[in-house]
Amino acid sequence: MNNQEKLDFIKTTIDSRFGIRGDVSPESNLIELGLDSLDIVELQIYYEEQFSCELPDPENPILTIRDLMDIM
Amino acid sequence: MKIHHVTDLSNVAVVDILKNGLSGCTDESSIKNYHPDFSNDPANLFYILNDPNGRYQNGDYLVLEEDGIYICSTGWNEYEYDRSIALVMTRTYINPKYRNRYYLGTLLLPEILSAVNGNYQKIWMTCNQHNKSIVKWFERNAAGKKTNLFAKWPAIYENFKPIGMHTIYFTEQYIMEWSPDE
Repeated sequence: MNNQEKLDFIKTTIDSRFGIRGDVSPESNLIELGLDSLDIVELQIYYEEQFSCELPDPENPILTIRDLMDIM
Repeated sequence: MKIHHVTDLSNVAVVDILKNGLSGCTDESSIKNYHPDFSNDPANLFYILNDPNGRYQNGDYLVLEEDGIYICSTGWNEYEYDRSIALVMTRTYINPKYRNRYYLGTLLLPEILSAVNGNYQKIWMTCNQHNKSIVKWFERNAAGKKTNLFAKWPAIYENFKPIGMHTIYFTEQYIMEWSPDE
């Protein structure tokens, strides 16, 4: 999955599952977008189920869309 | 910040804070349980608090506020259909402006567990299909997988283990049971 595909996946998912639209870019902060800790859990689990994989543990907490893309 | 304890609607000041806070609940799947406009609905928190036989008569409902602003609230009650069970984190709501700060896990849940631990054979946290992502967090934790992709949840949650589904108040609910390490 290239970066654009990752971004498209994330944007589509947070739109369909959380109703978050608008200006979503790699620099977008997850909390500022309106996601909370449970939403991130749901996002993580959805990704892992879709691609039959397990996301690795990040060295630092995921704060932005780009942080999420980096571990996908 | 201050934690208030209510079991009915008699503390008008706290109830007003609660009403103001829960007026912000607009999610269609939960509005009837929380929004004060639905206080005639038997499932609504304000109906329950107003009921002289309401569940919090054998329990407690905790409201966290700061300077009169609602932050979050949650309750516990003895399960009247099986009095060996205490249900915790019931009717939980968090002001969206105060999410991701883990006030429930750091401030309210410890108080609840202090009240019920040792007094009930089982301490259960329940959720339904709508909140199934909560269950998945607990399943991951129980499987020894990391759960801190976003941030580390308070350690207190790690002692709740998923035990499947049970009928609670006539609906099938996912159950997480309090199982503290010896």
